[in-house]
Amino acid sequence: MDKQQFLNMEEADRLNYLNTEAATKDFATICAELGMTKEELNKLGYYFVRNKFMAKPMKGYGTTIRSGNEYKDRFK
Amino acid sequence: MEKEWKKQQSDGTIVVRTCGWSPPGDHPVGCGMKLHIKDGRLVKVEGDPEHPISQGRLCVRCLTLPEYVHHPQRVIYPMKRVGKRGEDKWQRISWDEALDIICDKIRYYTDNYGAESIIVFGGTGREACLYYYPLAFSAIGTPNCCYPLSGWSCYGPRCSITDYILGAGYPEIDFAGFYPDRYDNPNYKRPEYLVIWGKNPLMSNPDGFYGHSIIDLMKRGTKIICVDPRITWLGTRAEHVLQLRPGTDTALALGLLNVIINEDLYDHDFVENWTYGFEELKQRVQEYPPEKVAEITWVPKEKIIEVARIIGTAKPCPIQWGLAVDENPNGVQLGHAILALIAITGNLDVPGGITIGPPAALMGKWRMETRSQLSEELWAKRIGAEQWPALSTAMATTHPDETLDTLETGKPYKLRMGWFNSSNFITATCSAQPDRWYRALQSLEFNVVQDTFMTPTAMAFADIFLPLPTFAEHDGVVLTHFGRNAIFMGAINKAFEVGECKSDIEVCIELGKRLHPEHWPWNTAEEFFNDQLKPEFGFDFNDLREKGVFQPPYEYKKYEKGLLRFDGEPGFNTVTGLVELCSTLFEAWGEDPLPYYKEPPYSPYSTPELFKEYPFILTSGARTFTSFHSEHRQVPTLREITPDPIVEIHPEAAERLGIKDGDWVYLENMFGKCKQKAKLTKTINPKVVHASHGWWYPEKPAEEPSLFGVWESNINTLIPHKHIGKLGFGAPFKCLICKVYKAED
Repeated sequence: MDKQQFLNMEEADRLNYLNTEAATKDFATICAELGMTKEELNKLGYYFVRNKFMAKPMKGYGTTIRSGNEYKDRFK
Repeated sequence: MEKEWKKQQSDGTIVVRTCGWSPPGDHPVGCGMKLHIKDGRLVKVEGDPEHPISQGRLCVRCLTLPEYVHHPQRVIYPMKRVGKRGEDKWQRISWDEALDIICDKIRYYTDNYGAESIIVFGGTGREACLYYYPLAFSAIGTPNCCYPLSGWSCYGPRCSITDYILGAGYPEIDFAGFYPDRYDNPNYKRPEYLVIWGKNPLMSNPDGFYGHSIIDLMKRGTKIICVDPRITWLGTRAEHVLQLRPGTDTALALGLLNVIINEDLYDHDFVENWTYGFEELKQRVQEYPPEKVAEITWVPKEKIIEVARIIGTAKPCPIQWGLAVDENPNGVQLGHAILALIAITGNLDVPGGITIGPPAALMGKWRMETRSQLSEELWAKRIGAEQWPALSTAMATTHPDETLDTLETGKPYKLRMGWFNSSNFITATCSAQPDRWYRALQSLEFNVVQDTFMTPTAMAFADIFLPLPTFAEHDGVVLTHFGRNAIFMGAINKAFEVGECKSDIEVCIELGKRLHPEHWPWNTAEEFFNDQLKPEFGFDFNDLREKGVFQPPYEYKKYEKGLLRFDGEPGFNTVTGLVELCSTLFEAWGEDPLPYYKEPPYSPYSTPELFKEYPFILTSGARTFTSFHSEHRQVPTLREITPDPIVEIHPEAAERLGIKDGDWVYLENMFGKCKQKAKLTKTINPKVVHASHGWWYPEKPAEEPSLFGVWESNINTLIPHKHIGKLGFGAPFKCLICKVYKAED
């Protein structure tokens, strides 16, 4: 898969793909095959932690996504 | 509360109940007060006993509001400069003319140089913290919104660290602020001990915390531990004071962790289920045994062990952190270590412990969302974003130090227009080396300043001056912690008018409607607040006025209930889903994933040769009751209480230098010097001096070169530019070196 194909995937699918790859390949190989750097993956919110890819669920308070624990969500 | 917010008394006086914010600084707490208006003038301010948080108590800043509001030097009409910059020559103009001039300039710079050639400067505290981001992103359309304090050294680092380590909004001590019946609520548990670290909340009323709640808790039996280089009023009433060497806080935090972990005083259940990297942290803290930490910090070893044991065993024992975390190049590591202390001792999100909120909500979230109105291409031009990924991930601003570099060099592009929204930052407030900023800012071709008074910054740079109302003169919503942990919300009620002032949100709406009407559907501030409140809470702004204060219910242990993550899973909103004692994000950004101690850039140990010439450790920035940063200097009653900038010196050190109490002295180091008045006190270490910040003299000549005497007592001229931490946060405002000598002039 190349970078553009990866970027075209849905967010959840991206994480599944990365972890499927991580089961058989090391981090450097995955990056090389995607044509992406560690920094580029980090910027998209994907981090390689103890041989597994993880996604930061939201990008901090600079996010434009609901965090899920706003008043309305907690006390419906 | 549920009471009438405005009523007329038999003598014709109108009494308006409101919550304070700023300007002038009633720093984001929303203290409840009643404003008495007679014949269109504010004649009296009194505390509102029904306000559930402040309960009728007010400090002198709010009590003297009438002097501020009706001050003869206040600027209450839009003004256009008619002389050269730095000359006190102005012409009153209408709002329409002012906005026409401004919009023409914005269109000109955007069309010819790109919107990124315009920059908005913001400052500390004013509700404009909520509104200067949208002013930049959505009304003007520039990606450059700058908080100019070197290393973003106020509040932002603490929020960012919390975001990285906990994936949450601001961690505030639980002072029962969520409960109408406060400390008596059965769900609440009073802290056994409270650690106050690098903070003086009684005077500063920081962000979302009402300082006198500490007194309430002490009356109910809570014991206090202060970590501070000065023995404050609270320190004299504390059980323990760890009077450390300025800037060594991270070593102290690691030493406390060492004792707590090695003596097995931590919460095993929490550590095993909810933290990531405990073994690595355990290994790291072995480098910080109490005896070594005692040498670094000057805090006795026995004291470190005793306090560590208290933190490890007292239930609950929240830690309240302050600017000591932010104003330190080693501060990210300090914040990380303090969060680790809170987490492993089981004090996170428990009654009486540390409360955590969403990373953003309401206006605090809206201000961030407005950045999505910029194209990605334009957003990528934000100054410093590429060089400082950690800072730019959490903060939607430019990098402050890179911004000064850009102004000085014109790289990567030239900045041409400035909008000074809520910052008087050539005084010793919101910049390091303000003299350097002053020179660099001369390159801007056109500037707008919004303020209540003609300040040194406005006198030096404004081409158009837009007058701001005080919080007593406009409608608004107080949102503690800016929505990051909104313990309560309060209505700001317009009680009267002075001149032709417009609030930040009113200016944003009017400017936005002219430049980007698609983003500004609201016609009034009230419509805007209705849109913010109604979808979330089901009530509108007028309902909030009637309520006075709204305290949202609070849920403890959210991490167990899937209430911290947007996917509804248990855990924290971090990469690993756990409290990251070992940070995946720090590692990704090339930083050590574990907290570590680094000696301040200038100190007896890092620069021993320089220390021979500058033999005092300089710390600065402590708050007073009589001013909020550079505000309030023109209020007669407050100046009577605090007439001069004060430098605190130990009597033994003063005697050696021939300095007596009340002498004017110079403080000087490699970067600059300033003059302050000596106050001899044994509450400070003989090797340390503490200087006041925020000083200028409204009574001195306005025009250049004086600029209201802004350079005379300006302590920030001694603080160097870009001596910041590896992730871009923290500068040595509280840990520098200097010499002190008597002023003979």
